Amino acid sequence: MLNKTTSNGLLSVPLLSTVKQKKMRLKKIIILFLILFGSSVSAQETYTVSGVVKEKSSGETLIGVAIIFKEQQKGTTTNGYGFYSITLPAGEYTIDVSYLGYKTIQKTIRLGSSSKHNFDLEFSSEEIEEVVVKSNNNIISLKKPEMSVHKVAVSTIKEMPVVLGEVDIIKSIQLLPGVTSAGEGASGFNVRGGAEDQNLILLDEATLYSSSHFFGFFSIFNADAIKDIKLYKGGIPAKYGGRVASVLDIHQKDGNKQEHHLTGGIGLISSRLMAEGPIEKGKSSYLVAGRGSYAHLFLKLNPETKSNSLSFYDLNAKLNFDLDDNNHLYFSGYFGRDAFNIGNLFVNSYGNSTFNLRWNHLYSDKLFSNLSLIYSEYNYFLNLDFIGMDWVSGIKNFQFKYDFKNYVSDNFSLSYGLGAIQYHFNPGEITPSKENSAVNPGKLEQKYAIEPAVYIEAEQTLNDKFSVNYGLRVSSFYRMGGQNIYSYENDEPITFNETFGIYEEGTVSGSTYYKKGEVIKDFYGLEPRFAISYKANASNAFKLNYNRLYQYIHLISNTVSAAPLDVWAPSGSFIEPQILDQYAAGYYHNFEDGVYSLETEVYYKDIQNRLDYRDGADLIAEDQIETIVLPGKSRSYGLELSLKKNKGNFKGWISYTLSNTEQQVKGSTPGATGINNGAWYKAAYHKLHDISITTSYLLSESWKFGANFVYQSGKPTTYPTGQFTTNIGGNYNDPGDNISVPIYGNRNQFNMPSYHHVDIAATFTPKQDPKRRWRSEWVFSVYNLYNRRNAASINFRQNEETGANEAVKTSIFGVTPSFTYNFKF
Amino acid sequence: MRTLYYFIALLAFTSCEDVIDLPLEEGPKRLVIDANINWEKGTLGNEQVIRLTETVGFYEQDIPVVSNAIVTISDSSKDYVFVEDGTTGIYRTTSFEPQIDETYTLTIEYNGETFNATESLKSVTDITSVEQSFQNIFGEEVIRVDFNYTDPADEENYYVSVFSSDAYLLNFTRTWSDEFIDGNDDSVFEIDENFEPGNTLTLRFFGVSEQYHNYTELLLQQIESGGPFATPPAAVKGNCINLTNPDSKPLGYFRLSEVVTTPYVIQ
Repeated sequence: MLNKTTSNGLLSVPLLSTVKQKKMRLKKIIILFLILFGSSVSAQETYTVSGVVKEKSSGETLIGVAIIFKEQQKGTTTNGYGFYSITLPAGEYTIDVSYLGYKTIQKTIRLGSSSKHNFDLEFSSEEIEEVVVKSNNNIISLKKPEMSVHKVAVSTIKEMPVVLGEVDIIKSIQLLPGVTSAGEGASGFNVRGGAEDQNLILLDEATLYSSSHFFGFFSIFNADAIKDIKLYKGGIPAKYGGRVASVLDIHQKDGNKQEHHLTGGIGLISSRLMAEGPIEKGKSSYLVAGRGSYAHLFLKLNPETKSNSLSFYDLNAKLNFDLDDNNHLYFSGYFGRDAFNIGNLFVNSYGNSTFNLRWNHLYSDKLFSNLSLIYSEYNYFLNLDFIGMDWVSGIKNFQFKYDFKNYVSDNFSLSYGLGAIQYHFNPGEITPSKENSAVNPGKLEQKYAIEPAVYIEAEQTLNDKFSVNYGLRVSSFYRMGGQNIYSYENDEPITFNETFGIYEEGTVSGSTYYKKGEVIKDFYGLEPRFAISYKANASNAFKLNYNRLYQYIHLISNTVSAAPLDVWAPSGSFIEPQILDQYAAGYYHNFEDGVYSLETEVYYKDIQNRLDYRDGADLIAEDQIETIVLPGKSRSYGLELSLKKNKGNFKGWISYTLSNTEQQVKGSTPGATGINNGAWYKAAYHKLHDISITTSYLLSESWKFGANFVYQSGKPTTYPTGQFTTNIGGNYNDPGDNISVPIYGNRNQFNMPSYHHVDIAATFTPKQDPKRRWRSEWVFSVYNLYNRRNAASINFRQNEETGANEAVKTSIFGVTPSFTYNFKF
Repeated sequence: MRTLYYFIALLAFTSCEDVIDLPLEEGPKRLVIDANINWEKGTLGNEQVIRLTETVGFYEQDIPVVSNAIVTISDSSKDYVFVEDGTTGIYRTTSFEPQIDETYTLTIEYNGETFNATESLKSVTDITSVEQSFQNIFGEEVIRVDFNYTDPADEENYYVSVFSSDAYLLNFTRTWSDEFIDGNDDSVFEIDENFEPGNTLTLRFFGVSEQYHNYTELLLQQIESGGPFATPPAAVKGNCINLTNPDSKPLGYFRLSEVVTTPYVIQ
């Protein structure tokens, strides 16, 4: 190769040294360019092997299947739609197609032209299979710069013991290093010290705005309908953007293309049923799954609680069409709701809905594309009969995404695409709900925005040891009109009252009306993504990554854990986007021939423009969010360790995370104190230590056991440092007239007691008659085996009977046994 | 609203509340100025009371009083001197002259420091009628009492209500603004499962400033905080300042209100 480029006559002219130097430089640049980009350019012809990998009995495409060329130690994986493509020089190759839980297929192919090879994998639970799969997976995983990411098998999640027997994807990912929750009663999850609103939650490419039912007690995902779950904690590929802490990318099953099946389960709290099957055998399928709770029925048994109901339900639907070899069409939908009715005095319902249409198109056997058209909505409804008021709020969006992946060669692939999201935010609309209501109708200013982005990212294998990913996402955000924007005296939406020593709403000095379609404010973000891996040998790898992300919409919440009423606010005249920089480094080691694997990572991240509410902020019906939030910074750093045992009857993993997460809000005007006097304070979801141990033990064909142990340092909190009394009416002799008020010091200075529990589960699978289609299993579980009353919150109040001050701990789950009956027909 | 979510969480699961023994650190002592000037509508309003105390540890039962302070209120024309009742920390005057929307300044000298606060006296509208009814809560018929009023239209009004009854020990205080109800007929209501015919229920209805409304809202959040949806606690800061040592701010508030006191006997 070098010889070709150095056939350069100018080297033989020694006298013209500057010209020679220039040519030498040019030569070096050309050589460098060729090394970087030309390694796949060779004199030989190359051909492309591509195809789709499916599960044999159902036709379900499989995500992340390893396609390995063992002798060459090269390989690739199937994408989110089961498609793979790899370009190699002509020759004879042995391919291994492996996936955990399935029999590995080995095939020899002679590559003399570009060809399509589809594979249909069969189930297998044999140990030998697992080791082969693991070692094949390692060939790819150790080499790929992809890091800070976890792929969790739905089958693993289904075996974990959980509260009240409800299989919970969100609780399961909290067992991974770097992932926690803000506690019992807290919805959502926190990744590497990130807030709940910093997670991009995707279900078949559609964005969801909350991931829990019932304040975090249950997740919104029906595990029966889920095919694949991937969580990115860092090293986020350029195709994702909009949230700074993580991406939870969940794919639903497509539906069995061969036979009709019914799968379901009956549990203590809820039951589920899923129907799937072919529309046209082998070519198209449907899937419909529903899940609903019936706890409210139990409430009817008790006369005191009779007129109440608390329930949740979800509906998942999917239609999938293989139009031809190069075109596939998918329609997905999700609808979920939480509904409460407390004596008809308080009626509340909220949840997500999404509908999307996706079209996969293969432009060539090297160029895969997917176009998604998505509608997603989160809405919230409340009726308070006491006051006679109906309240509605929410967020709606339309989105399109066009993603391409070009599998240029076996060493180089390029992903690129574009997309845009259009938002409509309804911060709240009030209507009187009955005739004699004292409430006036009102509508808070509706908000609109558009968020377009383009990206490009390259994945490149430099040589046997080094691989690198590098890319750029260019995102933007246009806050659009159709509303009034207030202006404030001195440009201060929040002022600091020095007399009182508190922050107050600024004085409105006027307002400007922006028409629909007019841009109020625009923002642009350059988001570089970079990752490199060094595969030292067959069992060791080192990786590094850096990424920058922008987040343009913010969840404004002033409760310790986001309540369903919390409002999403877009960046605009007063609120800047959050900007994150994350650096991570990791070391990965497999030993005892893949039986054990060890992963360690350290990370550091800092975020600019992280908002926090000021003291005394009242978020309900707040038209002017800019008057209650203050911009600040946040930072988080930590060490994550996990040790996994992958083989044998006894399997599991231990993960430990040591981390620190804190925020700072400084006063922005002279005399202003900021929050906590501008000193760093612990974020509400900071957890110094987080230990999770999950294990499973296969005793026999009929019995399987699981056990989890979770330990987390207590949540940061604010405790009183004293009290004072006040008497509004002035009857100082009447003890009932005195109010004792707790005095609080700095935000989050103290820690609650630590949180830990052990859970166990046993799954009994009765002997299945191979001739009959009915399959079933019983799952018995006990959550919180030693009945530790973990504090969900500690509050301070006057005792109603004595008037004395006391500290009260609220704990939610004591020892909770349950059972579930699962079936498949 | 948040207390309702908390209630749902409690209701739904095997959750429980336990009083626990939690040792707490004590912060530095501060002066507490509890200056509530209440002008009962229809009276002269000349007898007024101010109490001075100190902060104390959270679990303490006895509140330390502050004696030998010099307490004066001034308006545009006069000074009103408050005299301490023995050593109770309670300071009284019988010569106060209240006027709607007049601005008053409170000055306190204690321990070599001077404290100051300024506020104006806010009016309140009348309670037009009292109605008793039943409300169905969780299957039980509970007595509800509505004290009706009409919010003055086209002005910003802020209210505080205090309910006291022989049916329970601790008073129930609320504060609200007329943001959603401006100009409308509204009512202040109280519901309690303990109410029985013959019980007394007294409403004290105060007109307050926006500042005091914000202060009281925050204060009530501190004492009503419950469950995982509680607003995180914050320091409640009033309108009193320490002129001598600005960093050592006294707690409490200097408020002047017109009050309507409406007693009622439950039928």
